[in-house]
This record gives sequence, structure tokens and C-alpha cells, in this order.
Amino acid sequence: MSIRIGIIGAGPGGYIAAIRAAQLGAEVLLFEQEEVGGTCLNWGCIPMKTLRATAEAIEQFHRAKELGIDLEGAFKPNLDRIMARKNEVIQLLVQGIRKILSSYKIQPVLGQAFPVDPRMIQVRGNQGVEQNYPVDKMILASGSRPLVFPAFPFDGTQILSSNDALVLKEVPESILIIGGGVIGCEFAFIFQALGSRVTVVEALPRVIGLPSVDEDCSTVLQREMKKKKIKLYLDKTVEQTEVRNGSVKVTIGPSPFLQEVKEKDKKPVEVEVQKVLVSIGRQSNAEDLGLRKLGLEVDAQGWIAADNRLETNIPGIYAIGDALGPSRIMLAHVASSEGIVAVENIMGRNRAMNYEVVPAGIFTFPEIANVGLTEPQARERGLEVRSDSFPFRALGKPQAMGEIVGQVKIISARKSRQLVGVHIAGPHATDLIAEGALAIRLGATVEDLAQTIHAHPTLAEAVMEAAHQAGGTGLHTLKNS
Amino acid sequence: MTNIKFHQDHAWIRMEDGIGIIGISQYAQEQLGKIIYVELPDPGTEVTAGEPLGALESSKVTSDLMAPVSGEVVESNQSLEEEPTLVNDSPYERGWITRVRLKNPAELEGLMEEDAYLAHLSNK
Repeated sequence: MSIRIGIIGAGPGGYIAAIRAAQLGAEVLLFEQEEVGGTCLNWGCIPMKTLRATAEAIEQFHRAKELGIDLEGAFKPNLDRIMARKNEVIQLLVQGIRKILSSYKIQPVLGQAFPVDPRMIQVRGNQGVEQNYPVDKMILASGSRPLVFPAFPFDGTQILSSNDALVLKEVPESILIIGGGVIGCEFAFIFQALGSRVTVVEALPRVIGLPSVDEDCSTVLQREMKKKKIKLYLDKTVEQTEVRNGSVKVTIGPSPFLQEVKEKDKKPVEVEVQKVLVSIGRQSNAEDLGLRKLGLEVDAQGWIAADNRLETNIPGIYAIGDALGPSRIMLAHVASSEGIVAVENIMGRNRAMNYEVVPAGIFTFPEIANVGLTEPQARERGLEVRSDSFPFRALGKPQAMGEIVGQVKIISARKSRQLVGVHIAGPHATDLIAEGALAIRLGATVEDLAQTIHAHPTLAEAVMEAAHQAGGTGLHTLKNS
Repeated sequence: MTNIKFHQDHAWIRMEDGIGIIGISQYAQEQLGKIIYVELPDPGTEVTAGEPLGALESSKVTSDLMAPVSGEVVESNQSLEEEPTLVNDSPYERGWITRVRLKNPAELEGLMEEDAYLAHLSNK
């Protein structure tokens, strides 16, 4: 008899796990309380990227004159149609996943599922009907949702979560974004392009201050925000929001992370905006699963603990994806990879999850992407590295496109010459990073990269040029510079 | 040019009513080429001699603007937002970048007169 695997959550972790499990001959029960595709497809990556496509088109319209086009009359975004297109894209992809699942005879069970014991999943259906499903093994892929901060509870109309922002009916005249991280910055550029007056408040001294993000990438982004008149407050925090009729009064003060606050920075600043978007992180959905009652190890924030094989402290129960929290990496493609590892372990293989080479993309204007270590991270590990950058503007393709902002930076080990990290800010950075991921995974040296012929004229030449720089053989740079 | 001093990283400073006006040299603007964006420091920003106080972007290169002195930014040249090429056309006058209240006026002593700066350039 085949093994029966129950998977709670059909996001990019859960549905990929389901497919892999079916491929390996397991009987799969996939539980989902909303829609297949999870946050990524319904409330994250994909809707954001469809909105971004519109924002990008608007940016191109603004460049009409530069590109030699006489644009007569005005243009303006139509949010109804933008949102309708977004929903169409989501529906198309949801149907695609459903079709693949159904080809494996997997029919997602709708409802709120939770484990009652390690071999039983209970589902509360939409009509309140409870049903029990016996399973042999279980994968928790319950994901995350926007973090609620008690000081600014979401009201869906004026204090928005990222989910609320994806279903807005009108472009806000002005919006203040609390949190200049990945989601906050992506929204900042989108709203700015749509015509909102945008303010971003970030508690750290730079935007997207993740340890995995190169500081030069933050610098580029901050300069682009300045160019686009996105008002950025760094080292600041929102102390208070006061919802009024049609507007929100926001009080901005010094960041709690500051060691010492200068006298002139102590005085709070007040800003009045139409809407506030809170993007200060994510919280675990696993809180709702009653895992502690089972004796399953969960931290104070509700993130599930699992070993590198992705098994929890209860044998037979595995966990993947956002449910594991930020100590792993909360990205869709990491969840999918974890789903495969968990399933293969259940099916008798012995696989450990490797988080060393995980590319990440940030869809701002310009895009940011990274894989591997930053220079400070490499030094922390005691590695002797060098860092070499090459600016896009020194190449033909970016000049022809008129998109010259940014650079490729390669971090490489001094002795072995192997790549340790690649950090890109610039046009199509999120696509270009794939080469860096492959190079690091295969242990390539900077010479391997430099000696690989890159097509001309392409953006990818910047990766080759940065590798040349690291080898001291830079071509499109001035001598001795 | 009188009353104007140069930092080795190509910023100039001229004192006027106790405030230092800062820009980049003719040589620097030639090297950069057509300026397409000047990242101006906001008033109130504290700057440190030898550290970036802003940046200049041309179609060829992005270059940090190194502060010739330490102090606090009083005002930046807003007309550069619309017309960054003022830095090319008039680097010492209309293309000024920022005005700074000096923290330590003695730092001016460490800067070069024009002759010395030009000599410094010919040694490059």
C-alpha cells in the first residue's frame, strides 16, 4: 500500500511538494483554506509583478521624448483595468496549477486544516463541517501573512496591509509606507509610477537593510527614490498614526535602533497622507494550527522549528516554507525547494536542505538581485575576498535602452578565485542573477566567468566585465582605474 | 580665481558670509562629461571632510562628491534638479552644489590654492 502524505497549505511550497510526492508514488492529500498558489500567486510575487508591468509601461511613457516619440495628450492609469488584468493573470496561473495537480489526481481539499495528532488531519470546511483525514506523514506548509503591529492595526481602507494594497479601487493621492524593506520599496516605486505622492519610513540606516543585500544596491535605490521624489526617512520610525476623515496624520520620530539620537532629530515630524501601507514583516499562520498542544516545537513568534531534513521534533511531521520563519529564507522558490527535500526524505531518501546558493530578486526600479554572500558576510566567515564592480552605463546595451543605472558586483575568494557572491542593481537584475547562482553552485572562478563568451550587445556582459575586473583583465574600463 | 580652495578629490569651496559654498572643479566636470543627475544633500545633513556628501551622475559614470570640509548643509542648489548641466556650463558659479556651515574652519588651511591644485592635476 502506498504512503499517504497530508500537506497543509497549497502555496509554492505545498503544491510543489504535492506534485513531487505524487511523482514518487505517494497518495497525496492537499489542504488549502484559500486558493492554490498561496501568498506568492494570490497576494505576493505575481500580483505585484503585474502591477509592476503597468508601472514600467508608465515609466516608458515618461521617457517618450527621450526615446524620440511625440506623445500627444495625457495618459493615466486605470486602476479598474489594472486590477482586472492582475486577476486574470492570477486566475490563469491558478488554473494552470489546478490542472497539473489534477493530472496527478490531486484534488485540493478546501477548508481550514490542522493536525489533531501526528497521523490525523482535521478539516473545518466552509460550512463548519468537520472531517478527519488519516495520514501516514504530514507536511506543514501553512505560510505567513502580513505582520499586524498593534500600534497601526489594518483597517483595509486607510491603514493598509500589502494584501489591501493589491485590491485598492483608486490610486491614492498620497501614501506613506511604513517599512523600507523589499515589499515597502517595491510598492513605493509602483505607487509613485501610478501617480501617488510616496513617503517611505525605514528604521534602519538604509533601504532593504537585509544582511544579504549589498550596500551599494541600497545606495542606488535611495538615489533613484530621490530622483523620483519619493520622500525617504531613514533611521526613523512611525510613532503614531491618527486616522481622520479621509486622511491619516502620521508622527515620525527617531528609530529605536539608533544608539544615540542627535538633538535636532529628536523632534517628531508630522506628515498628513491619504493612506498608510504597513509593510514591516510577516507573521506565521502556524499560530492557528494548535501545534503547541501537539508538543510540536514552535518559537515565540509561531515559526516552526525543523532540522535540515525539514522534519520537526515530532517524527513524521515535516515543515517547509514561510512557516519556518525568517531564520530560513522566506522566498517562494526556497519553499518549493524545501517541499521537494521534505517529500524525498519522507519517501526514504536522505536529503539535507542547502541554503548557501539562493538567488533573490527585488522588483524595484531598477531591480536588485543577489546570490551568495555580501562582502561583510564573507568577512564574518573569515573568508579573504575581493569585491569588483562594473557599471551598466559603460556598456552598449544599457545605453541603447537608456537604462544605465546600477552595477554588477562580484565577491570572489582571493586564493581560490571562486565566486562567493553576486550583487546586481540595474535593468533585468533579477533575470541576470541566474548566471551568478549557477557559477557559485558549480564553484566557478572569476576566470571561468570572464572567459565565457557573452553575447554582445547584452546586459549580461556586465557580469563578464565584473569578472574581468576581478581577474585584473577589465576591458571596458580605463587603464589603472 | 581668488578666495577659492580645492580639495584633492576635485571639490572647490569658497567662503561667503561665513558659509562655505561647494562645487566641483572645471577638471572634474570635464572628466565626468554631461551631468544627468546631481544627488544633493538635504539641509541639516552633517558632512565629513573626505567623505561623500552627494553624488554626480553622467552618462559615463557615477561619482561621489567628496566633502572638502566638515560641517552641516545649509542649502543645496535646487536648480540642479531641473538643469544638472549647470555643473558643466558654469562649475564655479551657477553650478554650485551645496552650502555648508563649517564645523572646523581650520580645515580650510589644509586645502589647495588654485595653483597647487592645477599642479596636482598635472601630476596625475
